[in-house]
Amino acid sequence: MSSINDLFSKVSVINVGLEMFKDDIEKQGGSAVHLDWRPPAGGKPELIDALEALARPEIAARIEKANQEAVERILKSQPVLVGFGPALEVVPGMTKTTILHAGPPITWERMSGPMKGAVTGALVFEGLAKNLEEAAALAASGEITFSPCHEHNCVGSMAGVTSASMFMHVVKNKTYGNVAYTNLSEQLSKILRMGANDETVIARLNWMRDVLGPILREAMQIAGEIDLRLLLSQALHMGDECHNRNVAGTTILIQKLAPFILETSFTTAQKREVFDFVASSDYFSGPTWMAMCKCALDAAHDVPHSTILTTMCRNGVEFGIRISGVPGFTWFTGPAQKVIGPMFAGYKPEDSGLDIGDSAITETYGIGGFAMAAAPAIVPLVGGTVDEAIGFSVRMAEITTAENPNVTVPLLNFKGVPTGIDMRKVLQTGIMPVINTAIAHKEAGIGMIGAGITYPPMEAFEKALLAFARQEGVIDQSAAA
Amino acid sequence: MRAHVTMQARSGDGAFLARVNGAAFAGVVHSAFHRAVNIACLSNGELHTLVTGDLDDGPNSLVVVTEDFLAIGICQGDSVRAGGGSLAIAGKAVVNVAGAAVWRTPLPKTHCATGLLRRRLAEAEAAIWRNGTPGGFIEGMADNEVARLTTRMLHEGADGLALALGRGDTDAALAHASRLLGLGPGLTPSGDDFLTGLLAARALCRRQGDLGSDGFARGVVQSAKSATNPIAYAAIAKAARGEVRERVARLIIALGSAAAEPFSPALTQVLAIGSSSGTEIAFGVIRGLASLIDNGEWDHGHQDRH
Amino acid sequence: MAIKTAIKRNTYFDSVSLMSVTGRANAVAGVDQAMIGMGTAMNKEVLQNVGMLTPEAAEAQSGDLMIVVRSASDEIAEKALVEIDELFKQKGGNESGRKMNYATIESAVAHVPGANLAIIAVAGEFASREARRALESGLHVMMFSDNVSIEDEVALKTLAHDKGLLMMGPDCGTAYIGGVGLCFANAVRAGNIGIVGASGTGSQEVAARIHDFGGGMTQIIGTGGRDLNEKVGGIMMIDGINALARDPATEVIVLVSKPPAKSVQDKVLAAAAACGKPVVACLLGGSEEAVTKAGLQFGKTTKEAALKAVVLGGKKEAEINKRALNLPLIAETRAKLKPEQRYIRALLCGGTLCEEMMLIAKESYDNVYSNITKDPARKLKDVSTSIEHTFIDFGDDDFTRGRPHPMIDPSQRLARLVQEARDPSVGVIVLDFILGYGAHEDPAGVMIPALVEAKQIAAAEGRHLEILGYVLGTDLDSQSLAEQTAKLSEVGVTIASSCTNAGLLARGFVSKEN
Repeated sequence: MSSINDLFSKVSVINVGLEMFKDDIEKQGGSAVHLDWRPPAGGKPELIDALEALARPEIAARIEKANQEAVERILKSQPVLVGFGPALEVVPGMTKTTILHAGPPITWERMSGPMKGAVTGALVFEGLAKNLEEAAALAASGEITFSPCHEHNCVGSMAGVTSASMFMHVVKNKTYGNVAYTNLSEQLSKILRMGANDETVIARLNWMRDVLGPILREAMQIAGEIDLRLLLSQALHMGDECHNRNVAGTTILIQKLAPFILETSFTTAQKREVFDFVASSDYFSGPTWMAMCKCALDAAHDVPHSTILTTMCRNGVEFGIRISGVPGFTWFTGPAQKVIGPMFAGYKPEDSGLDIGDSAITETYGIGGFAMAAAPAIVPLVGGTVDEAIGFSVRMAEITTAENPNVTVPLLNFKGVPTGIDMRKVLQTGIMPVINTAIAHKEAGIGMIGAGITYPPMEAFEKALLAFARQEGVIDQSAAA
Repeated sequence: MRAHVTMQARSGDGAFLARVNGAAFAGVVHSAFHRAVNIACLSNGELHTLVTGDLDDGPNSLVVVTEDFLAIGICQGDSVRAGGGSLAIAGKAVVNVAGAAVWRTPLPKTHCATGLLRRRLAEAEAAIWRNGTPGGFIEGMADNEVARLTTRMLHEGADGLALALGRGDTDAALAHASRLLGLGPGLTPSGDDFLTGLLAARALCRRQGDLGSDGFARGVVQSAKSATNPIAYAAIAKAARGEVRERVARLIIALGSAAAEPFSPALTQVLAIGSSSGTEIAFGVIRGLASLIDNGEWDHGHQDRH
Repeated sequence: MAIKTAIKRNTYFDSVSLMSVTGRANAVAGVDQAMIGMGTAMNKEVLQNVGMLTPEAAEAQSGDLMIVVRSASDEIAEKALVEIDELFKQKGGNESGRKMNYATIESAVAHVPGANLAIIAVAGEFASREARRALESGLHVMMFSDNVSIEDEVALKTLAHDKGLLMMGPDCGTAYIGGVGLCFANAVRAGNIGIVGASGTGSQEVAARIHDFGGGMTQIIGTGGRDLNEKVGGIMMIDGINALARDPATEVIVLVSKPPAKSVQDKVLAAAAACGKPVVACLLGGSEEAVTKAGLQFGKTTKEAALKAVVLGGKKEAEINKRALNLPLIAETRAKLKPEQRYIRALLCGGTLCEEMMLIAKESYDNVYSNITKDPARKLKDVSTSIEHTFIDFGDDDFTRGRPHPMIDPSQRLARLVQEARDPSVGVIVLDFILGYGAHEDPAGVMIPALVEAKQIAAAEGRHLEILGYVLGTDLDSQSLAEQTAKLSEVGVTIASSCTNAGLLARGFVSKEN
């Protein structure tokens, strides 16, 4: 057979393990690449066995087919903005005494400082408590229903606290019919989503409920629908990654909305307030892209036998993921991690809270940290170099399944963003999905103190793998978790 | 290990090409980077530059069809000699200039109305704030004390300069300019980049194009010589004479043109220069044009100025 | 607060690099504030205003680059400056070659066109999996890892065989493919001889001899130490023989291994006999009869095998310097030893070298002990205590579990050398020094102090201690064969010209017969 004899004329090596072997080959003028290899699943035998079991040809084939379908659903989803409305009216399962929050399920007692601050602020905003102390007592009383945004088709940024009167984006998946929601950005400085809850925060929330929300609602009634995937891809071509950097996205979104805002029945002064509000911070479109991603990923959940991630989210205490092939709201969690990056003057790493928010839904979709190469300008802000930013985009390709042909990165020759995180690949390679995110102060009310990079905890993926393997019947049910 | 490399100049500054063809150029490499090499001319110390094929033409420059000068081994101190229609660099490389296209700074052909210029300048400035690179005029999130102070001083200088130019007070303008020279991070400090943009805009668009009649420009060049490094100085000196790299000229032309062409492609090109250099240059261009409106020197009807 | 300055005079960095370094400089441990900028008057004013204008910065010229750092203490600031300086040497802006390291074999295969061989040197428990993925991706495999089960080995080699791929290993440390030495290999001249070896240092030794005799190599295929085990059945050795048979450049084939199980031996010899090219079988300790009956040449020693191969390859025997055994030297050395100095202590890195020298000793002596012998009566109970003639393979598991190989970490051998030197019953200590890729950069050099000490210990007790050294290498190896042998000679080490000769010399030195 000629294969061995081809080897005899030229050897081109992939070196796994001892790097010095690669160096010696290069000294002889030969070609070699060194693999950045880590023991799969951190070397844990039980997980390796599970990976092996899932790699058996029949099982693997079944998974591949399911993953293809799940990824197709992500890629073919066409989320469009169809309106705005108060949560009580549009969000499934919402009640006057429901408070939705970011991340996997968590009880009031365990919530972090900023989230508690946001909860009490929201209760005051809703008129359920007269002041923050009453609100805290109410929150602990058992009368308030706490639930993850994700379990109500919603996403929420930072604390993600969503209450009945807050106006929500309504984003519909034109291809698959499902709907997703998120509330509105409060823009800059002291905001509820960072745990601030004084009068200025409540006053702003009131204005958003009375002016901003209704104007946007009426504007969308006139507009009909806005194609969000199209705007997203434009934003990526203009230097955004649509998680931390939203300059372009906000510009084109408000540009789309502006004519319709003008045509609403509100006063010029009120419309002017809305424009000024949007202009006060680039972050305005941040939640919009989150809802868009949620809309696409929800359509890909519940595909039997699929190992594709459909959710990554954090509540400031725990990081939770969901796998498409493990149906419903089965959460796999691990401890929320620290965010590493440059901080604003005067703040130290000890001041930072742990990773929080549903915004990691953008990375789950393939943008944000996965598209850093689209936003080299963000690189110094997350403490790295341009090459590193490009490197992340390329590296994430190792743990994903496909490229999104509709959402591309110019700097990488218009390569589609890496789509369909496969938990098997994450465990196999040890490469974690990278997340670009804000650093919030650990105490309620202070807000953003920096920006940086963080990763999910491996523990969540380990739990998910074992549960999936058990569900697929390839490992013993009694295997210890 | 280094083989003698031969490269072709695709285009170049007319005066530089003439000197190479006339074997009238001898110099020493002042600084070398991946995509540019600065050569100090032995006779007058003026910097001349070789740039890689993806960059634009500029004063005293040659665009060479290559990707990386450092990979060829060019370094500080290499001797450079012109002869036989080519530039020889210390036995490491030869740049052939035969057939290179002659380049000069493009000039504006028309001027738009003042009102339109003002509107465009406002839009352009907003666009720079949105898309520019932080580090100089634009504060980045990772800023620290040094950076914050620098940014503040840059703004103070730029604002003071604008006001002084607007009321025709050359002395005050020079005082502010001298507090911008050498200020800021970068190989070409932010203040220098700002002044380059400002001087280029004024020189290309004023009614009188002759350096002699602009005392402000003369004064800045004089101060710059000792206030900053040779690379930044070279850009300022050329800009004051109305010579500036192609993309900056294109932006100035697009902003001031009577035709309805959009300026954002040209702006994007300028913003891509260096790290935050492009951002600073762009701000300078905006303020430079604004200063011409403010002191009545923007003449939208006048043509054939040079 | 301490403020320290570094000035880079007349040094120009492009702005993108400067921005990158500035960002990272502020993040360096212990840095409270860092400023990096050209030494202009205005930048100095900024420094002044934040209280960081040092005398050095004040003197900087506008063409100089200032780096000023403020930290809690002088020490921290100095350290930070050093780290920041490192940053300048690293990524140089957005032009630096974007070299990506891939994380999986599959993605490397997808991105590296023409990749055809995976070298796997990861812990045993992961090695099989990676090897299988490599084979399934169409790559040949060289597996340096050991501690792989025999079942896995059989499965991998069967898979490889079915796909027409080479599976070299597990436990394969030496190969030479396409003119490139892989893992532990010596630089050798190209020629017309191919080796298929189940012994790493055995292959190295034969190749080095061939080179020394003026011949050259086409390929060296390693099969791993266990290929000729009954369960494995010599799959790779046979595939290797056939591959070399098909290789137009190979005119002579040499097989190197310990004697296989009979059933395997028959298969291998039959394959060799049928391959259509002359084959020299160096089966250390094996049966000459079986080999010659199969129509092949027998190489009793590695030296003999190499010699025969070179001659078969076309060299004229008369023109070859065969490095004949130095009989006068043996006589001379015997005379130097006292009657009670009767034992050989061989402290070796190379497994096959140990094997070969031991076999040679066993031809004359019965009381030969080792840590690698199969004979339970002659296996050392306690590997740290020598008994009579003792041959130690320091590369064996006993010594390498949880520790680096002796070729990389000489400390265990050093200690043992001194220990043996104290034993008055020792006549000769034998040491091997292996050169080439993967080996220590100065194997002889690191042993010199211990060698000197050993000699001194014996001299102080009125004994001549004979130390015999063998340097396995070629004149093309980077470690300089000449320098290595010179260093050893200088401290009184006797140099053998081959493994075979070393075994014969050692045996001869301690002979007490007349």
